[in-house]
Amino acid sequence: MKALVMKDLHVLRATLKYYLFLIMVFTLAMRSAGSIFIILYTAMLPYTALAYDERAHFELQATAMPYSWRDLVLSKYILGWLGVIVSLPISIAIALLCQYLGWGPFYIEQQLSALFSGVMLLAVCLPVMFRKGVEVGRVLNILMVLVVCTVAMMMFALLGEIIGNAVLLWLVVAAFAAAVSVASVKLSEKWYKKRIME
Amino acid sequence: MNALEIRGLTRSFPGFTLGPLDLNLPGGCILGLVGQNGAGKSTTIRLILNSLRRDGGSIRVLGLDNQDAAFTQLKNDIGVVLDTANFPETLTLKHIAALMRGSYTRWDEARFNELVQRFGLPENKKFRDFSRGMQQKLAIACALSHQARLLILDEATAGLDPLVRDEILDLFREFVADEEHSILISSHISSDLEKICDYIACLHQGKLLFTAEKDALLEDLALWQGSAEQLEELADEAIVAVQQQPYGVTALVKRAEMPAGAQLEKPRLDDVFLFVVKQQGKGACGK
Repeated sequence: MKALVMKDLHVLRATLKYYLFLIMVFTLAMRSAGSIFIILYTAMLPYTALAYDERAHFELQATAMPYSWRDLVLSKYILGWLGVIVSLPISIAIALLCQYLGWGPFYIEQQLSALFSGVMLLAVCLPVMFRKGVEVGRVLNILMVLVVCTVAMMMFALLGEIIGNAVLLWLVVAAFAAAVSVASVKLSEKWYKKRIME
Repeated sequence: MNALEIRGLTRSFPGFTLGPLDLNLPGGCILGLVGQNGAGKSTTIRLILNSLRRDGGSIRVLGLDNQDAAFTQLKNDIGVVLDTANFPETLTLKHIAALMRGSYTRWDEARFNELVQRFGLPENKKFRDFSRGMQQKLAIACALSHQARLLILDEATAGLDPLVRDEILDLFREFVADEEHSILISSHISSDLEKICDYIACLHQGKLLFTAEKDALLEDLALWQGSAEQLEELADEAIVAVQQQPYGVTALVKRAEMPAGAQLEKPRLDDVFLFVVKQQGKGACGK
């Protein structure tokens, strides 16, 4: 499965410069708050990789190779999770730089919320992309960015009041994201198999 | 052991039904699947690879049911070339080699490099800039470089010039020199199938018209030309299929049933295919 993730990274190399450009635009336009978009944008890397696969009908090649349906879908999740994890320190560094330049305060909660939203976006949108294709999934993703981020903020506020302890709050949030992700992988596996085999 | 055993295989789509299909590919042999566009060749291959749901029947590949959980790992033993090579366009040959190296447990880098050199494939060009012939050569190089025991080739030689096709057919012949190796090949180019196949199966509109040993098929059948009156004089059991020509008739006949001294020509596989498909003569020349 590592080979599939590496394949996607090679595929995405050409588009990474556009990601860097977007990071700069959002940072300059939205200052400190813009740094969270780095995390949300990297969560969308698997969609681009999936779009390249769809255009090439890579699924025909992949299903002839020694990969299970789970391997094929999980590789895209791993790509997304790697993306958000790697982008977290970059996002923090940019937010700290913005604070140093007097462009706005730095709150770690902002970055952690974006990390959670990125993971949740993957969990919500990838099953739909595997079932209906990237084009339909992208439309859903635009809507889900707003929904997931709003729900995440409301959830943090509510849980913050109930739990009180910040560390415990983040552990609960992480456990929730992990559970939803596991369910999402299973659903993606089922839907992708159905789509290709029908 | 049979490399491939298909029994009563069926799959229905709106407006098209494949099967029921029964096929055997004995170990150490090459089975050619011939048929028009839309006859069901690619569908059959996808069903064999279990990347398409079947409605009924069974498929055993290298002795294992292809719906068994272990079939995923068995794909290490199956080299596949599809009618188009399906790699993302921005990958280069090096990236594709890395993908294969990380995917197949018995990837043979030296063999791959040898084939890449033999085919003259460029290392740093992106896949989208490969010609169709180059793309097919790369797919063939991949399929031949992980020590497979079974090759499944769907129009693998399409898009290649005759010289390269000949070279690749030689590679396939070398592959089956090992008795544990077998090939299932579908092609429109029946001259290719005639050169390398041991067995021929003819699909038409989802149905198997015949399956036969190629040499026996081409030796047992013959082409006969004459007038309509002369055709009347032939025994019914001698005639497999008839085509009206502007100046008489041409018939595909059974050599053994023809009168002594009849002027007969050895048919090409193409002739047999065209006669049988046009006549819809299921069972007429098969077993």
